[in-house]
Amino acid sequence: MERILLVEPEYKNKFPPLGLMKIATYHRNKGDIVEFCKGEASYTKIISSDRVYITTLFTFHYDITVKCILHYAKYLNRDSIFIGGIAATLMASDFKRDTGINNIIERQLFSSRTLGYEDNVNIDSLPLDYDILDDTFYRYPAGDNYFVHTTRGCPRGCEFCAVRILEPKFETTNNIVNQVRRVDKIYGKKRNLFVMDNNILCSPKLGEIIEDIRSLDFTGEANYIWPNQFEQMLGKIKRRKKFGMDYSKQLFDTIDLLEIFANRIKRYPKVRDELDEVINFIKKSDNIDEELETHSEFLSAVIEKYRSKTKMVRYVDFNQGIDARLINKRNIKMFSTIPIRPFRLACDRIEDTNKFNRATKLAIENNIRHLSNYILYNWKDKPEDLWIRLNNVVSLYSKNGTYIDGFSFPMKYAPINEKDRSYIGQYWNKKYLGAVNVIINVTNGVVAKERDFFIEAFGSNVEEFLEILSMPDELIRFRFFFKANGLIDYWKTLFRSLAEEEKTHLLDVLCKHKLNESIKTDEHPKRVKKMLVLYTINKSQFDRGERSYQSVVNEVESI
Amino acid sequence: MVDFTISFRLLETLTFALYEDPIVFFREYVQNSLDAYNAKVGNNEEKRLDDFYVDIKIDKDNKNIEIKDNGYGIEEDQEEDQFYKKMIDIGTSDKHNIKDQIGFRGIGRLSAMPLCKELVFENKPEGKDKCQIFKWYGEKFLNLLNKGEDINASIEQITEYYSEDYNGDIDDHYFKVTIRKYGVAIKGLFNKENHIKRLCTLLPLRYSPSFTVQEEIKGKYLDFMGGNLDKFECKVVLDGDELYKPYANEDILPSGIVFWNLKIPSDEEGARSEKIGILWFTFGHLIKKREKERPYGILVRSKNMLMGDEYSLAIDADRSSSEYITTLGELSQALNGVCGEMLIKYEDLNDNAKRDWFRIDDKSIKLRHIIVEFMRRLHEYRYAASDYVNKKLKDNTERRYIEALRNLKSSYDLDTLITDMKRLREETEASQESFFIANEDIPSESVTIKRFYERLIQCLYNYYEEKGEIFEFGKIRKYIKNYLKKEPKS
Repeated sequence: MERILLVEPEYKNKFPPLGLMKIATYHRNKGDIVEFCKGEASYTKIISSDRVYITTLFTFHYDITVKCILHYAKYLNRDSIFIGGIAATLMASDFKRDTGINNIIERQLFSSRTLGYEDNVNIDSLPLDYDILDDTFYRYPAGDNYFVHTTRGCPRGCEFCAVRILEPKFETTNNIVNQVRRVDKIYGKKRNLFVMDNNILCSPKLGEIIEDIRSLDFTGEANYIWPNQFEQMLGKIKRRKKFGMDYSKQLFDTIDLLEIFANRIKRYPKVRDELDEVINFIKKSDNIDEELETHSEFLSAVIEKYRSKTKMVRYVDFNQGIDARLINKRNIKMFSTIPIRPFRLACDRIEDTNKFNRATKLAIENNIRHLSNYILYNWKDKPEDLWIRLNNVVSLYSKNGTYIDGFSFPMKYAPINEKDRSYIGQYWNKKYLGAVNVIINVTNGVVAKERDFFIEAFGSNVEEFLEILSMPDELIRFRFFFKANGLIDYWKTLFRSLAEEEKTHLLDVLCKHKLNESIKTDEHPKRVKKMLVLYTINKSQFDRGERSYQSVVNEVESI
Repeated sequence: MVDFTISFRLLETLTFALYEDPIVFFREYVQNSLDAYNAKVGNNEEKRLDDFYVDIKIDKDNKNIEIKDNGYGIEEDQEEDQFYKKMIDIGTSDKHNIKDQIGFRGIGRLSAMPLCKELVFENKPEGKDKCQIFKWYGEKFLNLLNKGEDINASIEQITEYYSEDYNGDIDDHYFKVTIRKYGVAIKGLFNKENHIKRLCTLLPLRYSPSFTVQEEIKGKYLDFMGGNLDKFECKVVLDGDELYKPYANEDILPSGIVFWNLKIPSDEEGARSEKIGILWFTFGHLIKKREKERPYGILVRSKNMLMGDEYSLAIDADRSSSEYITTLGELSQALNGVCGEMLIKYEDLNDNAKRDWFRIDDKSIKLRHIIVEFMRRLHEYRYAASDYVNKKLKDNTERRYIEALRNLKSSYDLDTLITDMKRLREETEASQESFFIANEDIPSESVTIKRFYERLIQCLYNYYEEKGEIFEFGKIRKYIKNYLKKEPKS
């Protein structure tokens, strides 16, 4: 029996580490003790482990990932550490060089022999172990769902996409029904289904897949009721005991769950008092574990009777997007038979707009109302292309009024072998990229379909968009505040009075690494110098009363 | 016969400079006694004594100190006078070849020499009717040192060697060090009230019998290291009373005893991963400075011999060039609130000449990694616990607290601690409710600052109320509140 520690570095991410969840299943089937840690585990945990598996994700998390790996390498023999996942596949030699670890697992784990075991198990096809996610306090926004693959790879091989390296061969893989049923059996029914295929439309079995999904009760009807959480917790505790895992946190969480539930049933004071009494008794006992089990029948019955049983629709999310170029009347009909939310398309290049529009219209015609799209920028495109594509989406979506629930998701391109996000595309510059980031950060990275919002944020035409991108980031970030106090209009007046070469000079300064230093020390044309005052503004200065509209104007005029 | 081959200046370095704190000579002599005894017993269990001990007698009136063990002394062999040979061999030791020996330099025996008029070694092996005596005249040594004389020419003046008839039982055996007419440095030691406490910390003593949790510590040590801690413990009697390590059951704080197994990883050259010892410690819900008389900090003991002091972990972590946790001051404060020992036994870790830490090499650097990790976890816990109890406005304080607790105490029994902590938090919240004004004006400040603020504002209120200018009070309160907001936090 080995002690296995699974690690994901401490970056924020939406999805749980699926690879590690499969490795967990493999080791648990072997009878090993498995534990998961997000970030740097404590020393005691590390030295008591026989093996550590560390996953990697985006290459721009390179530094934080290497730091995490080195933390483990300080206390454990490097031969006992295995690194895998996306970034490790894309930059294997960099990881080897910077961590001194030779066990780099590239691509999928098709055989346990890669890990040095003789049993030759296809780990990639194993079910996910959701229990490991309870070992950490980090909550994955999309953690409690089904995750399935029906195909691997993508025949397109787009230049900007890492799939051609990660999964070079396109092939059909698992049976979706079996994958979901296995999860149901062990962990209970989950609500939503994430299909992680890179290009499902290339699958020759699309019809079968959709039928399978429907057969799993993803029909668009409200037919899902959250399982009894108390029973789920008891199940978790039981499994953790069985696998020799620490379950103190789960005991603690169960008590919390019961207390919250007791507070919720105020309308039934008698039941509530009885529940309170049992909870207090359990809390005070020396053996919470045993007492929970003794009272489980009563607690479970009370919770079952009084818990919410609202029925909900279960959704399917083809998370990696659907290839708009391959949408046709036949396959869109199939998609329309399942509740997809959102229906993700992509408009990566302005040349794809017509195909994208056609696919979107087909989706809307077929009553698919939750839409979204990925819009790649900072690649071979120009800044104006971004506005044109976003504007096109807003027009498409808003034509259908409130019926459509949709958003765009601009995705900044970074080469797949870059270790940070500083890449600047041929037609872009640092200031523009920063400004786009500020604009979309206000809405958590998405662009909503409402036209008034779009015009406010991105401008009503390409010229206005480029003007907004030149604006001080602080003015973009707190647009309403600075609009109200008149500084945005003031900035516009100054900006529009600049000659073209002055605008170019201004942009050059704004793209400099050390902006504040350059403003103070470098030589600038007088009108540019005046403008630059507005780039030193910080809203907190206004909050503290250190600056006001008038003081800024005076400062500018004094130059 | 072996000649001295060292200069006075080197002798000065070996004695004065290496042992800056005079109290350490007690450690050197007790260690020599224990080493000599353990070497003799070795695998020959028949030689094990029922009651081996070191007896220290301090005669403050005559300024004499006697350190005598009932071990086997230095036994003669047929060819050489081993006792004499050892006495004049300075800076060589045969201990480094013997497993489980603590000292290895052969300089410790002179540590008291510059501190007294005469340093006398008396050797009585079993079965002999004579005892051998070797004297160092410390005062004369200092005089010659000041004159810059050559030691080889003057050695006769500062040493004396002779034998005396022994009047007791021929089977008696002992080794005795007598420090005669000690000087002001040693006298100064005894002027301080805490010299016994310092000896209890410094010497490789046994745990007090009333410290019952020692069984758990020794059990964990045995489980992990596969050897007994007992053989590095020495019974030491000072003026008739046995000295013990300073721990009592009441020193075990709410966390209970937490154990970390210490292991250094294998390296690229193929050296295997090795167990080097255990760390045991205990801490409270909040990491607060312990009461003055109670033990605190983590004492690092190599084969039970103290290395450095209570703050050694903080100092070592602070030396790390690769990782910065916080200031040395804060690290030390964190150690004020814990109590425990790092019990190390690892032949490849050599102590430095001053015996206050390990010699810097790749092994001690690996140990430093562990120490840095411990200090980081302790520091994180200190802040997470304090934030959880005191600063209810911060996000995720509970999650941070539990995570920090789990990182420090990787065990299964956290429930009681967390429940207690929740209660403590509620109590603190209740006590904070008395801060009517501070909670409103400076809600995220610490309790200490709030308490002061509350008093200050109350005082101002009384003043303005008496003057009948309560409107002015409002103005000054607003002014102070705004001023504090702008004030950058240190």
